[in-house]
Amino acid sequence: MKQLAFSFRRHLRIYKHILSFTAKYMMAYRVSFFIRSLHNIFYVATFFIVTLVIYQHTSVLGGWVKDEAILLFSLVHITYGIQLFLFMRGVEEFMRLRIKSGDFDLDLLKPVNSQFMAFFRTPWIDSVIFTLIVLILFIRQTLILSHQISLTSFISFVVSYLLCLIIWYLVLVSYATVSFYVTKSEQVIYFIEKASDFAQYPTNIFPKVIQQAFLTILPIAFVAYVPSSILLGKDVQKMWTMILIILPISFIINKIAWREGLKRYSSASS
Amino acid sequence: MSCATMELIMSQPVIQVKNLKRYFKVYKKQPGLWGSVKSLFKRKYETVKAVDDISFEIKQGEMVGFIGQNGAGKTTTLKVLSGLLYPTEGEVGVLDFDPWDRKPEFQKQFALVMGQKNQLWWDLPAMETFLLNKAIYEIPDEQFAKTLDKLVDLLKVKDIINIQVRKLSLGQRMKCELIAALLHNPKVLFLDEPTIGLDVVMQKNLRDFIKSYNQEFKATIVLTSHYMDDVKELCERAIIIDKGKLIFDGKLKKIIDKYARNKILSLVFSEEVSEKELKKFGQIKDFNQGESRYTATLLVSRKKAAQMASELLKQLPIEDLNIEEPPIEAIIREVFQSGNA
Amino acid sequence: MKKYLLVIKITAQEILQYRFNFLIHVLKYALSISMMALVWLAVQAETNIEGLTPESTVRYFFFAAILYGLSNFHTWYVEEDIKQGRLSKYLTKPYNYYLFGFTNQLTYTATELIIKLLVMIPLLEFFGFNFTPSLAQIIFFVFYMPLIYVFSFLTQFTVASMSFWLKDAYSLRWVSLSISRFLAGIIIPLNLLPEKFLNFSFFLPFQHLAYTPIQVIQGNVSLQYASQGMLILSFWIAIAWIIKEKTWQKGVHSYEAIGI
Repeated sequence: MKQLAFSFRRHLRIYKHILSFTAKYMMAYRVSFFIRSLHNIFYVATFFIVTLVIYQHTSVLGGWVKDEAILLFSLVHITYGIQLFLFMRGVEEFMRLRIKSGDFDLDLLKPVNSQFMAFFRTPWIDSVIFTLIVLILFIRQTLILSHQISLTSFISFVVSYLLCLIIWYLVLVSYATVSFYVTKSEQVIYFIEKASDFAQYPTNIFPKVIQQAFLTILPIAFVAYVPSSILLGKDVQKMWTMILIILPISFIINKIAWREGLKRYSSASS
Repeated sequence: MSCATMELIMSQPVIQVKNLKRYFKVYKKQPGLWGSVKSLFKRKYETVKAVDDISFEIKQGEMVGFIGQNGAGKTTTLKVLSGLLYPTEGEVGVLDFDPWDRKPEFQKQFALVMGQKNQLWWDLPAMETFLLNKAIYEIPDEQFAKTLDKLVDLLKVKDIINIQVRKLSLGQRMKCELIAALLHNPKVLFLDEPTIGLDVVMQKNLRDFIKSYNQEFKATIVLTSHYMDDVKELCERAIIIDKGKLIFDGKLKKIIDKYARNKILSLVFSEEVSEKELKKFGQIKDFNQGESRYTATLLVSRKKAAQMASELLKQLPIEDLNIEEPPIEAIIREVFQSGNA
Repeated sequence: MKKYLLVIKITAQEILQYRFNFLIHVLKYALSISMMALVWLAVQAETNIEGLTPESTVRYFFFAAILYGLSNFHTWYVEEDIKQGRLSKYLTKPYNYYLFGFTNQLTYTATELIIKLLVMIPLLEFFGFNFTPSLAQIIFFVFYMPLIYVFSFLTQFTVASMSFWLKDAYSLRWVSLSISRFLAGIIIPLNLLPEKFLNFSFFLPFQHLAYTPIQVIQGNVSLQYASQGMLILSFWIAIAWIIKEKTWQKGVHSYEAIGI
């Protein structure tokens, strides 16, 4: 336990360094930073318009009213922003570039956790601005829906959200290990990203088979639907059950996939 | 600790390789669009024996050169020693660790520098990478400052460590790469083609640096290179690998003396000369007496190269004369054709 | 001409080499756009929407998925070639860099289109959403495709050429793709937006990148409307061509060939 805590602190120190020079780099290229932030905002705005247009035609979708849907939308994009900031760019570079070029060797040589080195090396600071914008939207929606939200449900939401974020990371990385087996496979991650566009709609509007998929093999429901449901008191027991089942399974799959992938990587690279 | 104990420790091998084998499965595709379509249905695989049963030991402070052609197995061997590749068969020990375990305690004691890959962050000054490595290797502040000063001084890069890496020349980048790799004072240093693509002056600079590093820190250095000069200047001992097999392990002097029997004389004449005349001086490899250019290439015994050159200049109308070592590939070919030393 | 045919051949080999990656790429958009149909079906389960039936919704998004590949691709390599100085090796050779990219991307796009047509049309039949368009409707739909591709490639190439001056043309490209996708009606059928907007956007090129040809094949607009749409798109292609030429010439002039 002590060693784990020490290792965590060490990795945190290393991450502070990575953040610090990424920020310096971003400040050196301020214009690019703002243009890229703009592009993220545009992308999110187009989806927001879809939600607004949907609710022009109906007052409820899958049991979710407009304000609840906007809350769900904002939480999806907060997760999107956080994942971009923390590890998404690392995953994408890992699959697209670093395995193929063999630069991943350099990560393996370092006395740090190999997943940390592979995925957390390039924080995407451009996502900060649009994440803040959707965070403000989320807070606004929470205040509007405050009559539905108790302190207990809010605390429950915070815990579940963190666990769901971990599930999402574990699953993404498990899928990313396909790069150890197939030379060019970054489209797998883009596929999952595209699929996660549907996380902004209540999962229960889809056919049963797709709902099951979104809660298991492609768990995009955990991006926002599950924690939002817990926050708003919708099917809370079911949601917590799913978290408690999927979290350990995804942890085990991640560990095995990474370990086997590393073995496979070493057997293929020269 | 007594001198005898120290000597005993220093004579213990830091690198031990026993019957190492490393095989890869590669798939062969026929060329062209039709070949690509056929490969959808049936693929042919073959096993490449990158390293095929090699054994050696290296003691602390030794500088050993790995020599071999492209694809001989040099880089593969280094990668196994660094823990990047798992052996197909055999045993490997570096500093009493199994490299494949990739224990942090092991990783903090060695460094691998690959000439064709870089760990410096492209858009940032090299200093940022140094600071990151300080955190990764947990180097204390004082030690970091001292080592950095020393390395920066030795490599004369004080003016460039705060410039973006992408704006540096290849030679400058290579120097910074070395610093990044050596900040944690590794006991074992693996250098894979460290001087590739550098000009002759920079190559010399780097060699001098590596020599001083070895002398100062008593680091064990294993170096692979295509450039014979790298190995000649730095290493007393050489290991020759060809097609995955170890065909020579011993003093470098022994290879040069025993196998590099000849030197190559490239000649340009101001007028036509006869082949018969030239034969007296050595074995003719190439003879070209064309319309406007008269050239020839001779193989001459190493010991007599200088003397022959002098005789040629006296007796024949020579416009230009160049004395070269035979390429490393030629020496290795000779070594391989002669069998194990 | 022969060299560009060779580009097609080599690109085809590349596709076969990296077929897993390519198929996932095709699946990614095909699935995600088709699934928008499910969202709108769910909306229609709650209420009726004028101008949309479940059948027409599914068909709409299926065709949107088919057409999307014609306008959605990335010319990131143009940015990289400019930024890394690799453009030098193309400028010194006797071939047209634009045409090289055009044929290279065309191979990818055409392969993607064929796969989608082969898979998605039978799927429509399988799910009972079949319909019988007239020959004229099919011909118009097919003739729209090359126009969509040419316009999209021109604009993406031109935006990527901004790398001669901007460090980050990449983001500009993404913004232009996001706008184009929205205004083309890929994620919302444009007839669900205010009529004034629809009338105004008729004179812009974007609506004709997906919405108009989909309405043509579904028989929701007249062939005259379809012809007008094609003319407008052709006009914008001419404009885009002029802008691309000017931008490229100016860019090559200012190119410093720095890099590795």
